[in-house]
Amino acid sequence: MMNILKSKFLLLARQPASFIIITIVICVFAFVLGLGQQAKVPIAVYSDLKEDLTNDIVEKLNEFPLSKFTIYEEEEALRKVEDGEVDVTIHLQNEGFDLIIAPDYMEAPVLQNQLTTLYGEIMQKDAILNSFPLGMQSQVETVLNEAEQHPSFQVHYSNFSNDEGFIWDAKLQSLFGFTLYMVIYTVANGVFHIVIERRNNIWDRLTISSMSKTKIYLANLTYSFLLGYIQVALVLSIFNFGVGVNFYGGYINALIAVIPYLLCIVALSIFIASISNTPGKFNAYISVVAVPIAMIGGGFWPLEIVTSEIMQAISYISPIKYGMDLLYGVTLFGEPLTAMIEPISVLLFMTVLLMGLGINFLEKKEQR
Amino acid sequence: MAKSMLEVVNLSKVYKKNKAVDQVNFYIEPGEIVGLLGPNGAGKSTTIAMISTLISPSAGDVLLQNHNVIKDPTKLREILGVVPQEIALYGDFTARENLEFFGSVHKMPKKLLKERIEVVLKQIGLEHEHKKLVKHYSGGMKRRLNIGVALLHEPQYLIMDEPTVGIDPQSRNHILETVKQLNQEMKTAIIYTSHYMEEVEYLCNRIYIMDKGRIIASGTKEEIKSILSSEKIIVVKFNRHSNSLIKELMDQPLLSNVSVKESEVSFTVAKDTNFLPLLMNLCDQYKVVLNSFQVEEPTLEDVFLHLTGRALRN
Repeated sequence: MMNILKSKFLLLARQPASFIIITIVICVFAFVLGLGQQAKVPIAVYSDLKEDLTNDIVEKLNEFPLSKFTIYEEEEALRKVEDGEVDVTIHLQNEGFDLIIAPDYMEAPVLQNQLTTLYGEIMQKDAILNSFPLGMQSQVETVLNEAEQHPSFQVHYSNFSNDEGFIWDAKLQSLFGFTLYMVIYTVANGVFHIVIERRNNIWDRLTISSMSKTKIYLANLTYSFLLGYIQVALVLSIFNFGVGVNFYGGYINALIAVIPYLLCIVALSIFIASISNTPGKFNAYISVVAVPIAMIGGGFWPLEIVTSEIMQAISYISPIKYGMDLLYGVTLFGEPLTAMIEPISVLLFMTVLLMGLGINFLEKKEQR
Repeated sequence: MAKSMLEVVNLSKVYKKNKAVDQVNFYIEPGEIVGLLGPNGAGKSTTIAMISTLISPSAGDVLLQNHNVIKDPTKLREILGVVPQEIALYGDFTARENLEFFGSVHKMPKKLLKERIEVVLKQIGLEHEHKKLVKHYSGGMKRRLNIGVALLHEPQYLIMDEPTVGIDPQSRNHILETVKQLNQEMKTAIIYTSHYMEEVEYLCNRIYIMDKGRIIASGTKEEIKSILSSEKIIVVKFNRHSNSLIKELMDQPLLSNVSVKESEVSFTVAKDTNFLPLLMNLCDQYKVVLNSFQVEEPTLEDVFLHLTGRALRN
């Protein structure tokens, strides 16, 4: 088995371009999309509300880490979004708010979510105040502020998927998302060796050698796994030690948490190899599969911003969803690996299922 | 040296409703070279794949000294080398690296493997080119290395599937000599398939001809040729080409297998047939002059075409 592994790494050393390019692409995209979001996005606001209330809302909005909210006159605010000076203009009204959004603004659902929560709280407070006589309002306001600072109930969001609340980190999102997405191509590149070797009869040579079929598969799959793992470890290390991205103390756990995901991707690639008759088809199918599973699995944006229930339901079939859950769990949410049994189990189940089907189909094809 | 006979008994392979191989029986004894001939789609490659334990038969057995190879392929795999029709090598490895890798998967001890690599490189004439990447080799060099890989573990049986396809005459000659030498010096038993009849005629002691999944003829070269011994092949040359004359020749019941090759026309007639008066009459009738004629012994190719037909195969 070691001789097959050795030969694969020697071949990689002779043709390292694809591995290096994918690694660079992950780093560049994760850096640009993640760290590029350090600068706050300017957002214009104009309001029909009272000045005090408007200032209150904008002050609260400015606590939102990704954007800078500024109040303008209606005409100026609309001109800014028309001219592309800002991506969003918010129109605050008594009954709600309107968002005027540039077509390429990706954070709209997040902003809307944030605004709805905030707007509701402030409007509720305003309504409470207005229900009291003018002379009592300052007294009531003091009580309300006191209650806000020292609430009767402390609410903590503790699970990794946060059904009610939504915590995320733009840098980790783009880093993990792009890494998990692009590593599919690297792992598939490893499995591509099997496709090519079956095509040019090297596989037959191995089959009739003294080496067992189990060892041949094991060596090839181990190579694909290691190829992906080395790439993920390399990228995460660059961002942890070089770029200084905050892993919230979960860097080592992230390196472990990615293992079940990579096993699942190896199995997925084997399954795709088993249903593709030519190397060209294999590459095409990998691309056709990789992009959607990254999109529906939260590789490109947080799943929490997806409002469609159907899309949320479909995300459960994507290995990237569980990969992201695992990585977010052990970093941002500070969970131990033992608390990650659910996504690990699902990924291992997918691994067994896809690997079983894939190898079975490949062996059946060999008999044709 | 091969000590055990390899036998194929009632071997069949069915794909859905298509019988690719149908009740094939043959054997190869130690030290023999056996030719397996057949047109495209005859079932040769499927038969070879079953013998080399790559695919399982639908029915029948492959026996090595009465040991069932289908149930337990290990014993055969240790003593079998296969030279596939395609170049099954790593293009990004050198010849030496390819040999080292494929030798290692045969679990050869390191010291022995090192020695064998030197021997094999000499055998295939690549001892001075072993440091080049295979992707930079010529077609002939790749073919020779393709054979070399199968020889590393000194197999007692060697299956060669069209090993000389698409190479120059020098490399082809070298391969044929290597095969002959292997058989004579190492007593390696070889199953050889090719579309080049002269190669099979030169190398093989016995021949099997397959068509439509079945063995349709078998025996020594002489026995195979004797299938046409009651007939003779006549090759005639006319002063000019006449389509009407050729059509007339084809319609003659006394003549068979009429074919035209450039200015020559050949046909088969029964040994005791006096075909000359007929030929002269036809020449007069179509105003064509007979320049020469020659009586030839049937070749292996004649027998092959006689048995499998001249119609084009897909």
